[in-house]
Amino acid sequence: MEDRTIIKRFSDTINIIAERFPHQHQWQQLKNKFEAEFGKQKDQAETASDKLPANDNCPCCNIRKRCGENLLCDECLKLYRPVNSSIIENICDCGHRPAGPEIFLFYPYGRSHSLCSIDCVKDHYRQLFGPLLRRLK
Amino acid sequence: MIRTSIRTQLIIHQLKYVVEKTVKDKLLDEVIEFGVLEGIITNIWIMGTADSQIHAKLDISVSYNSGGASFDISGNIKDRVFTGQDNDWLHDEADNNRSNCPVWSEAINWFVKLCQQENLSLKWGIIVSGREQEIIDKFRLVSLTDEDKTQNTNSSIVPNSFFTELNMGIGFSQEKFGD
Repeated sequence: MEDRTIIKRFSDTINIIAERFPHQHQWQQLKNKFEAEFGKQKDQAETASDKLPANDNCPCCNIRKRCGENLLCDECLKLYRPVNSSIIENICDCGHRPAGPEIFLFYPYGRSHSLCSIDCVKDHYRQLFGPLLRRLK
Repeated sequence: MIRTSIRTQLIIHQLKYVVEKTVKDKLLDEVIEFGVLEGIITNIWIMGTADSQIHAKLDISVSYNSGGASFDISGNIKDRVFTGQDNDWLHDEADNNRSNCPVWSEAINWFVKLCQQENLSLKWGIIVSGREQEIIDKFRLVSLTDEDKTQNTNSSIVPNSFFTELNMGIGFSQEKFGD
C-alpha cells in the first residue's frame, strides 16, 4: 500500500474517533496535530485517488480498457457499481469516508459492500483475484 | 431422485456457462444436465493440462439441498475422475448472461488466460457419487489418467454469489506457476 493511502486511512480513522468521543479531547488534539503535520499530503492523497491512469486501462483490473465515460471497464462494472456517495452517512464498509462524489458498491454476494474510492476497489479486487492475477505475465 | 425446480435449472445454467467459457464441450453439458438433475454429480473439474499432467484446476463442487433439511454429497473417490473420450468442441459465441455469478465469470476469465499463457490444453472431468457405471456407459466416459500436479498446493475458494450449492476451488502446480 502506498504511503499516501496509509496517511489518508489513518487520517480518516482519527477523524472518526474524534467525532465519536468528543469529550475525550486528546483525540481532537491528535487530529489537529496530525492535520498540521500531514494535511498537505492527505489532500494530495485524496486528489490522487481519483486520478485515472495515463492510458485507457481500467484502474481496477489494469488490463482491460475503460468503458466509455465510465471509470471502470465493462467486466469490473459488473462487480463494482458506482453510486452517489450521499447514500453513505458516515463511513464505507472499507472503513473510510467517501473519497469523492462517487463510491463503489460490490454487490454480488447479497449484502452490498461499499468502498470509498478506486484505491479500495483495487485492493478489494486484488484480494478476490490476487492468486490468479499474480500468475499472469 | 430427479430435481426439476427452477433453482436446479438455474444451477445447471450456471454450470453450462462455465463449460461455455472453458472447454465448450457439448458432452459435458449433457453430463451436467443429467448428473445434477439426478443429484449424483459432486464435482466438475476444468483442467489446464500438458504432457498428461494437470497444472491448473477449477474444482467446482455441487451440494444438494432438499427442503429445510440439507444434506451434502461429497465425492470420496478422488482417484476416479471420468472424462469424455474425445472433445466435441463447440464454437458458439459465449452468452454473457446476467444470471451468472460475476465473480465466477471473472475468475474463469483469468483462469482461461493463465492456461493460454502457459500453453495448457483445457479438458474436463467429473466425480459422481454412486451410479458410476451407469454414467460411464451412458456418456461413454473413461477414467482420467492425467497426473494431478495441483494436489497438495494452496487453492483459492470462490463461492458462487447466487447459489450456495456451488463452490469453486482454484489450484495451480508449483512446476508451471510457482507459488
